[in-house]
Amino acid sequence: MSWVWPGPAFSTLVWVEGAFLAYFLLVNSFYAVLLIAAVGQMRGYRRRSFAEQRWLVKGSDIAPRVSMLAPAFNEEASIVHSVQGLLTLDYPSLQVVVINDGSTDATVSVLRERFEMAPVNHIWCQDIPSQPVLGIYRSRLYPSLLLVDKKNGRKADALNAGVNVADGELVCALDADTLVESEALQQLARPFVAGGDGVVAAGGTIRVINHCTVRDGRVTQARVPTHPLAGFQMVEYTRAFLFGRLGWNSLGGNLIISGAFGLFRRAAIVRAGGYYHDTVGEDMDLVCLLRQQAMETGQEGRVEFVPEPVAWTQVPESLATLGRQRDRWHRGLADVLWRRRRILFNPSYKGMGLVGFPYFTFVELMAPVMEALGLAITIIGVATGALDVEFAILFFLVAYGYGLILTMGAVALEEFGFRRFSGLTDRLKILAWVLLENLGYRQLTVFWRLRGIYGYLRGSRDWGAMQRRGFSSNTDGDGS
Amino acid sequence: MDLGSLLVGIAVVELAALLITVGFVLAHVVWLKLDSARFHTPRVRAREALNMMLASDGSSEWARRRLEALPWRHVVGIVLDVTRSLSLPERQRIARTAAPEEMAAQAERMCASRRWHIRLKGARVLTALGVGEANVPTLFNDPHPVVRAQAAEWASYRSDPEIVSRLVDMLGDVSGQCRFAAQNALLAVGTPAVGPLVRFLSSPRPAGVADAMEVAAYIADSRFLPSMILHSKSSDARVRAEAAWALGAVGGKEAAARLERLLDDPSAVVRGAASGALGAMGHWPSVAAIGRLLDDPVWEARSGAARALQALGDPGAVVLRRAIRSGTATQGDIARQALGVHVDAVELEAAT
Repeated sequence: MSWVWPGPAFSTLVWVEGAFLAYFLLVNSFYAVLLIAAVGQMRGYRRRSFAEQRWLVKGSDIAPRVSMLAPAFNEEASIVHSVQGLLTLDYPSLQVVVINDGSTDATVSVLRERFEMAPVNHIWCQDIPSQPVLGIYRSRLYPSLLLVDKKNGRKADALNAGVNVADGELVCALDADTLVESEALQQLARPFVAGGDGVVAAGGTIRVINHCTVRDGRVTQARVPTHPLAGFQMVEYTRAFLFGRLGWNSLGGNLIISGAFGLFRRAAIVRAGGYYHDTVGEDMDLVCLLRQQAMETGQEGRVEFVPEPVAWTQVPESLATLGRQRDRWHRGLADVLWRRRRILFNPSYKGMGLVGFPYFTFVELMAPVMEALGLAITIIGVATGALDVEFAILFFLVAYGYGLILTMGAVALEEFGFRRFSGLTDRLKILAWVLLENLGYRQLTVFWRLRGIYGYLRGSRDWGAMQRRGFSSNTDGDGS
Repeated sequence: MDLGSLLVGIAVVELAALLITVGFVLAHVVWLKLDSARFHTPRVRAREALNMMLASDGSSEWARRRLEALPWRHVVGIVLDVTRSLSLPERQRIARTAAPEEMAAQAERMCASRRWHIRLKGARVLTALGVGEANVPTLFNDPHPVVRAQAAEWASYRSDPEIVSRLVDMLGDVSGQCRFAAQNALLAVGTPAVGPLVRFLSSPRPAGVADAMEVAAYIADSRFLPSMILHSKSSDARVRAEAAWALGAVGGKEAAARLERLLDDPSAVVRGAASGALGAMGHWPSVAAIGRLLDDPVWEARSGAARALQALGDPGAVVLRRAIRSGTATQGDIARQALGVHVDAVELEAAT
């Protein structure tokens, strides 16, 4: 059966649909390159880390000091668990800085009482402007724990205040509801030890904690979520981290370090002027700026993704919360790409300018537009007879089928790499979520991301309402 | 080719790729299950036998038999896990008495492989066993930095002069990971590293001096003093700063005198390090000199001075209080921070 050519207008429709098909073919082929690069990176990483003695960093007197920055806003339900988890991280030289960002609940009093915190003479400098700091407290029980009480200024401002007060050579930005695995910092600090000043940031893997067993601030058993939304997000995170970010290590470096768990050189952040306030994409903006500034001064400015260190986070299990989150992420992406547009196709920025930035602009940002239009045109075309069903099937095979295989490849990478999940049941659940992801969930994310683009064009800077639930022994989520 | 055939072709390829990937994942899971079922109990018993041997000087022959009943990959896993927190003599004891004889021999052969990751595996197994004197030292010159770094790790706690010299030379390695591993190994070696380090620091070489100074600061042996004073005059600010900290660790009149001269260094980082070192030494006669840095235009120097005065107790507090009462605004600000004289939060809000 051959294509139908009913007239000039319909011919145009066919050619346009062909263009969309070519777009998805190119995009998925690039993803395939990324997956192959990720496989190579994983193989190299596994070889380097075979039987690695953890005590090299763990037992070192000269390991770089790390300051954990945990901004907190109305976190009374979970702040104690979060801080306990941070204090028990297995790292030789660690400072924990909790920044209370003008909470209206009992976050500060809960912390002060639980950890016996008292005002302290802390010598610090406001290298980066932030909202006024009202007080600094140190724990009598844990001298490496500081609490910075400040006026509300949102997350970026809280992180900037934390950078000012921190005394570590490296700072680790966290979300308040993130649980970091105990050896994660040892692993995440290695690129800085090996790469010296050439490395400005490093990020680890974020995993979904929903339905996992948590005891004393640690995930004791990882499980695949049974809730569909959480399950689909788990698949997305696996794809994004193990396939996306790992692959980018070989292809010009990463442009994003997750705001939930990232390690940075403090001096580089100060030189860059800190996190930018007026964006909801402050983590990506900072990484772009750090790399940009490093390259402009003749340095490498490497941002590395390390697959093994893991931080766990709750993901939303309600459509409304998830929608707001994805809307916000896409607005942040659009904002940063526009703000840093000088990097696009600029050879001075090497791989970042010639590969990374174009990818994020024409794929990550524009993909929901292309997907929505492609889908709409396919449906219209089939309905009006301009396209026959075979062509529509071809579109789905290229746009979704190819992507499905790549996602399965990411799951296989997880299986052969780290095997976090035990048991056949969990593996079968993952496979089910991978197969079902494209039947409605993916289309929803397209809608939310389109809404994000629309919101960005209208100038929206809203974070949206967040809900926090404390960690119980069998966590169910509605984080955002 | 018509569209229909193309569709069928694509669908077949995609389905095949999907089934192969899913098949691999499920096959891997099944293999793991079977492997675990088959070897779980023998592994537990082998681990118990090793632990009992270590804890009570029990029979090593029993532990060896348990280990020899397992595939190599499981033996390596158990031995590496058990030896993780053991001292060098205990690891060597396991190598002599309990580990399968072939284990060390195979690891030594791996050190001669053409593939870096095989050499790395061999070196790590030999490190865990505490043996390999014939093979691992050759890896100090390995082309791959991870392998060289592993050779440095292996050398930790070994005081053989030749090995220590190789570690000291590695402080000038191009790889940061190698330098870090060499530093940690030298810190583990301790006093036997002083002689080679002094020779390293006395000879003219630009690379590795700062890292060597950092090690010297931790070992803090007085034999380092001439080198520290020499390098405190280096043209590299990082070297001068590390020398300052090292002088503070060693202490003494000569060190204090040199540190006071460094309070006027052109680099703020060095000035801050010098005052910090004097504070760490508890050298209270320097309070006045340190106090002058409270007015330094650069934060690193000011904060270093303030922390040093905090560390110096009452003499430092006197200088800080004077700075609040009659010093400049800059001096007063940092002195208030150091003494905890807080500006009222409401006033601060109103001011901003």
